[in-house]
Amino acid sequence: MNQSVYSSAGSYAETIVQLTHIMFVAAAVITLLVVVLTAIALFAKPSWKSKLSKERVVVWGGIAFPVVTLTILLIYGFMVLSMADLQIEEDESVQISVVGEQWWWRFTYTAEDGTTFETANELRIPTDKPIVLRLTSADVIHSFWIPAYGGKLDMIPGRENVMKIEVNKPGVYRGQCAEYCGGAHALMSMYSVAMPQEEFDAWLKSESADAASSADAKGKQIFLGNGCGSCHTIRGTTASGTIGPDLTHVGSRISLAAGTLRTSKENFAGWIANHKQIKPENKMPGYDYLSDVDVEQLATFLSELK
Amino acid sequence: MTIELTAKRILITLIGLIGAAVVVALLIAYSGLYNIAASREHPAWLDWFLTVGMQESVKKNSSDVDVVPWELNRVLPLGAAHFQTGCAVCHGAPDIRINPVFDHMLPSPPPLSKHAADWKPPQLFWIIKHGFQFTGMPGWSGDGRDDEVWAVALFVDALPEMSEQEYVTLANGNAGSSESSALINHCSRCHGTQQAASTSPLVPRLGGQKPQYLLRSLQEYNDNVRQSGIMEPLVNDLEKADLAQLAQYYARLDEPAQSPPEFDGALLEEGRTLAEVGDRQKLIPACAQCHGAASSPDFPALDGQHYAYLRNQLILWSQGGRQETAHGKLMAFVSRNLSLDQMEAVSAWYATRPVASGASR
Repeated sequence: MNQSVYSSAGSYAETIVQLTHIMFVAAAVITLLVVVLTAIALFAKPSWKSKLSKERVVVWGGIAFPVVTLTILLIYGFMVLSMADLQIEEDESVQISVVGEQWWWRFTYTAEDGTTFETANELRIPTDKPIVLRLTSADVIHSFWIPAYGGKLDMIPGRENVMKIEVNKPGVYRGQCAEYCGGAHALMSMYSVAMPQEEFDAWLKSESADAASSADAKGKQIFLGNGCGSCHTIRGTTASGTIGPDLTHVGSRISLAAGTLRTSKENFAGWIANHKQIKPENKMPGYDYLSDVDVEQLATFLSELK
Repeated sequence: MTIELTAKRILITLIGLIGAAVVVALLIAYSGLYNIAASREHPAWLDWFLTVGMQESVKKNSSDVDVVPWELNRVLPLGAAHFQTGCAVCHGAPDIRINPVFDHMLPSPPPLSKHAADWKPPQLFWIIKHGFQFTGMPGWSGDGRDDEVWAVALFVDALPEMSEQEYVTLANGNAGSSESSALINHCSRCHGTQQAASTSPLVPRLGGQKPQYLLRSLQEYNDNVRQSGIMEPLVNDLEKADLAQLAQYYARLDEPAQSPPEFDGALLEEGRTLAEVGDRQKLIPACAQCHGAASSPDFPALDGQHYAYLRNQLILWSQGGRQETAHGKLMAFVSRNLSLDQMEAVSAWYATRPVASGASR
């Protein structure tokens, strides 16, 4: 579950890490050179000093060297950037639309039968397959960043930015919003699960299905009766709100509230009762009138939405 | 011998005079010389002084009150019924003599059938909202309910022109038109009965409402968390059993429908969309998820509710007037994002919905 820019989970991220290393090493060598030249200028014999003050030192060392070095670096940088575009044939890729909202992530997948469905705060992707992320925002500027996948891209209202990734190492990675987007920005994180194709296919199938919950669950009645469904969708029930995150399979996610809490029955209950303290300024209204028993039953219902 | 006028001398003299005035005032207070009795009139000079001070204060303080264009026929029944509950005991009414107890206050409360004509509506509004110090006139008991204050102010403004018969008809409303108890009759002065709809579309239709919601509302008035200068004083004296009885009565009541105004088709369509789908862009959830058939018994049913009442309450919510209760907070979250157009659209939509009959709930 790492969130380090030095550990890459895919080939593209690997080239970015490589670029980083090249830059660090080159910068270290150049810094060393400058220090040595400065030492010569200060402490060496007069004959060395006079050699250093020649015009060609400035021409070669101060003009030609930086121009050549930076040009090479620029071309290499462009190559790295374009790699992300070149390696992906669009029709063979998995297309996922991502909307940044204050303060969570809305993901829209396309199921096998071509219909789309929503999920939230957890990006599941197959490994060894090109992924196209279509990024936009519903309110203010956010920035999509899962360091292990390489690249960071702004999510801008009214505009679609496209990010292409390919991940080779299965695992769970953490990402977060990298552009200050208001009050709860620091708690706008997500987990991404990269899984082998067969596992991903199975997940896609179960995730696109309606919620599995018994119709007479007490918690379900509380959920529907108190209007939770006016902001949240639970497919397979009358809850069809689109303002907040889709909760159809919320019990199977790693985290609650965009990476704020670990998913557990206790945390569901804690969230419903104290979410204004846990994630200040989040847009969910308070439900202070719900009794402890109501909250308990609601938490049970939600945690069973696998 | 002449005394030279220097700044220092003038200052010392002034301080001396002020000090002397304070000493005299304290002497009057501590000696008990001034007779505070209300059983005799103020001396003429004091009466003049107090009257001028009061009149000028009202004029100055009410100068920035904006007149709200309420429709008179909507607010007069409300204002009249509240006047009868809260004001007539001191000020009298066309059919009620001032109670002798209150007639012996000093200053004695003016009979408003005569004296209301001394004031303009914004001044009446200010007086009813804020009351007077050193008299028995209280400020309005419902915080943030300027709408109610206007109802009473406009009624008081109309009072001098009103015949006794007109007043009695307005103030009694639907009372006596049903076979029920004194308690119910008290409520029927404004609210609907089996024979008649409520006296004003600003007064909610209660017939067929969910009993648990009705009880919650009454309890919130009683606990001074839902604000209303009209409802709170009425509910104040009631026992829990009375509240439960009222909730049950209105839940079962089959109140005749009040035909809603004609609405534009586009407005109704906008209202329907808001009610059923909401407005994701503006973070407005669909009303029907909380106010639909399957919703909690704590949430009111809205079908067939009066347009004017719904609109007025939404405005009140958006101005922060109903967010003291846990349920009110929830609705405050929704209403602050609604534009006035949207409030009107959704009020129109619910007003035109057929009301479910009382027994079926």
